Amino acid sequence: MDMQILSAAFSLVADPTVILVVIASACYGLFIGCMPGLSATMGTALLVPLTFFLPPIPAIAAIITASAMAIFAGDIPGALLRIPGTPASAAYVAESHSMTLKGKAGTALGASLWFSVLGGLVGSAVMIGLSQPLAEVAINFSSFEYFWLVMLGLMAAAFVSTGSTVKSLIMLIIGLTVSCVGLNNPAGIPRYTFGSTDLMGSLGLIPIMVGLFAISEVLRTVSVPMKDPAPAAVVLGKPFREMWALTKKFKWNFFRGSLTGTALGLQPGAGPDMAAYISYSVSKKLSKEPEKFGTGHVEGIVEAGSANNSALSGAWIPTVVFGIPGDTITAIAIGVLFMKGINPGPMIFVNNPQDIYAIFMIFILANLLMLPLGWMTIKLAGNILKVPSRVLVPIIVSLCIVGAFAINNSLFDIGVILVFGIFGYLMEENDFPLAPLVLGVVLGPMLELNFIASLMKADGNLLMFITRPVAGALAAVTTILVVYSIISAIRTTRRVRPV
Amino acid sequence: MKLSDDIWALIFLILAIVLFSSGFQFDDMPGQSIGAGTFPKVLGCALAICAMTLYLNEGRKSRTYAALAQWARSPVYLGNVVAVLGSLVFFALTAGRLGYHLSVFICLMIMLLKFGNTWRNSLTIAAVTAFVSHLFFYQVLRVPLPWGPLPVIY
Repeated sequence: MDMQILSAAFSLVADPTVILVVIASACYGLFIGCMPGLSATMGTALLVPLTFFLPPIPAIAAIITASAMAIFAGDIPGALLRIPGTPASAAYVAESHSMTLKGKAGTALGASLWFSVLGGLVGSAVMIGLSQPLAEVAINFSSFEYFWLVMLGLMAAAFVSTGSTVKSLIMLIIGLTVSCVGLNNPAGIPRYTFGSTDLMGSLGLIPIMVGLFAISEVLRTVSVPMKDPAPAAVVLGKPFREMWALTKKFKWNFFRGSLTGTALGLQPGAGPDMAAYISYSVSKKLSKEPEKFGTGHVEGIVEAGSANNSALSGAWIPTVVFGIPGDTITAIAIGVLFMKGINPGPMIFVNNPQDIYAIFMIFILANLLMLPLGWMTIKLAGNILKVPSRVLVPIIVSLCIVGAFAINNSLFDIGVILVFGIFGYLMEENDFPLAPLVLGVVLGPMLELNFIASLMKADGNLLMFITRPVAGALAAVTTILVVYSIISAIRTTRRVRPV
Repeated sequence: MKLSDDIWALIFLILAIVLFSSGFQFDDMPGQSIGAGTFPKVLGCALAICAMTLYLNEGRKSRTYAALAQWARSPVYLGNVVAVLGSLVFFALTAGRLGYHLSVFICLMIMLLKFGNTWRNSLTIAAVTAFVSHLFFYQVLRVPLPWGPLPVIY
């Protein structure tokens, strides 16, 4: 790395306009992430018109900073109200909310913030050091590898949830079925649309998530006596004192989460959502105290929180090196890069090296800035719990309404949150977990596309699904995970019901 | 409402059969024996296996097939749930004609009063929430929230 290029990159980042844009977009990203119904992707898309008026580096800085902040901030309403701000937070929303109910909101949110920052920094370091070689590995993935990668993510999600594995699998299949609605399939044929133009474009993930988590939680709150906030629930304390101890105790969780997140971020379409689900699952499987998961245990939050922010950096590796977006946020960012005359691809390291290193530095700056601004947001958001439920619940419902409407500017989405709200409530009452359904909806189109493409390539020879080395390895890991989980379930059943 | 796992297994088995058979409605892609129906058929088979496993593993444990939740027997809590769901239906049906401000204001008033807030508090909270949320989403996020009969003032 040439020192001249580094100093040129540093002077680009140290520009007052860049610093101002970074701070403003950090506040904006934190706000978007906190709002139920507004995703990091939507927040990033809304920034694009603003980037027209900015020079290239501040424009990209705005997108990087806002998306990183929004991914973290999604954990705040998740922990406090059990309403995940972004899909990436849905993986461990039950865990963080359980911690809030136990009076440990400060630890849950502190861990979420601290490990998001650390995970983001690890992801940035990997991006700086290994961009080119890692992207070359990822580019060789075919539909077979992607199929198994998605399968691994889905199976991991099914075994994440506490309780019955078969119920998790059923919810996963329902999520995959929901993703079948509309024109979004390899054949481009409308499925399950019943002649409705609203269903042609498939059911939106955000209205589904708002319904499943927010409306179902509202129904649960209003169907029992509404208490004024419990004093324990609003104590945020000084959680950073605990963070060093948590970092020492869960150092392997943090490293594993960060590396898994970066590796998954590299894969187009995978992104922070799958990284959070897989990391939470891995954390539970490898934990010394798996029985504590789902009851308000911080271990899963450490690993999944590190993973979703490091995945954000990982997704930029194929973006800058090959011009292939790793997720929807980087797809928007590529558009902005082209618009600003920075053409991503292998030649970017030759033509615009100072720009690319400036982008890397902005990642580090954004992650460092997350610590003070994120903590201030947590402090402010903590006041939400001081509002009595009889006032808070109607305001949440109105925010759900406007958030769902904002996605497609359609009143149809209000119907979607209503249906999925009732469905989510009913399923949770009957011990069916909701998180696998969300991942099924997220990854359904990717699974089907790669499944159909692989079937066409295989031309009847199903062995082709496992003959490529990486595909074979992923298939083996998936099979081991499934078999191990089935054996564990059988053992548990035998212990409960001795014959 | 709680249903026993036997009932759920039956519901999912029926859903699996519907899903599998619906896969035959879609044509295969030209020159291929697969198409838009392949994935629903696979999902239907998987769901059927899970439904049967649910019945064998978890079913046959409970003697009650269905039980109504406690809140459904209490007029107060039933009213609360109806107020929330009714507000969503009301907004979906009226926002186009009444506009965002009025529809959300009415929804908020219904819920706030039903949950035991005073008239004065309810009026203040509903008016402020409707105005601030419209201002932010309409002006900052550029979401075209409907104005209805109200004049466009910003």
